[in-house]
Amino acid sequence: MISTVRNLDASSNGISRLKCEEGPETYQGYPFQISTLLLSENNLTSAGAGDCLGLGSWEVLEEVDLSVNQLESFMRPRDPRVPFDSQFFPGASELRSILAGYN
Amino acid sequence: MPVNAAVSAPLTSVQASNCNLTGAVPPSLCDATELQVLDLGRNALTGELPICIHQWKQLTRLSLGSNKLSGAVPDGLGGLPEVISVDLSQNKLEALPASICGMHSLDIFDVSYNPLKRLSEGTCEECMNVSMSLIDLSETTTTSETLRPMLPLLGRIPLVSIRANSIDVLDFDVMFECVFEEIVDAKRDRDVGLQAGSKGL
Repeated sequence: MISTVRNLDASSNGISRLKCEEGPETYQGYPFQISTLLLSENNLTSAGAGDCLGLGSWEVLEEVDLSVNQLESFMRPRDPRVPFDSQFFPGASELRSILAGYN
Repeated sequence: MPVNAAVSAPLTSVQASNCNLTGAVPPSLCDATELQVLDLGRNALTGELPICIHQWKQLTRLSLGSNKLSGAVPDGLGGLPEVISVDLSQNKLEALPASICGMHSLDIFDVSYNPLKRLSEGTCEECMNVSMSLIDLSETTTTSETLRPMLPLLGRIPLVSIRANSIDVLDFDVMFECVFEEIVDAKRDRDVGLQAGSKGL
């Protein structure tokens, strides 16, 4: 079993971007092991389609905090023909809490 | 902090937290080569950590949190194989050891609340055997640039806090590069095994 980050608290920074320039091919099916992702109080302007949160496989994700950012779009796919649930934390069947207030 | 102890048995533990201690960590502790526990947290110690820290090969717990220690943490700390927990939080430290991947037993590493200008780094290969479960880098004035060399290591640690810093870009590509490498290696090994199996080897 490869050890990876499971609980990431990156709140209260000035994060405007989660960089995944390697692209969808690299992250295709990549199993993120993050169960708690705290990103509140940053400068994120979008979350979901087209960024890290729309890549890979988030099968153990339980809690996400995106509150107090600059989010203008959230879970919104760039391509309107694509279903929402395949563009935001794909595979996140354990997700039980998303905080996204104050955006 | 005067230390004048004439003892015959080797000194293995120094525990004096919350004792209003002032001054530097005494250099005489350098002679305690069998030291396993050093707990001087919650005092008012000043100055830098002793450069002889690499001599404490049997050290398992270093607790110096909530003091006024400054300067760089000596690189020697990063090579201590028995250390399980390090608490250097709430000091005035400015640099971590060049690498902490030689601390193969390290479980908890807390350096929060320090004005760090330089973090540790380590290649995927060097850090392959790291077994850390928690690292706390919150409130350390860390930027995207200072964080970058340490990101591959952070990607392998289950509990990571980089809260309340000055990070503007969180680079997942770098953070997970070691994990990607291991997945690719594991897949290649599996494929080679399957090929060998299909050839009856």
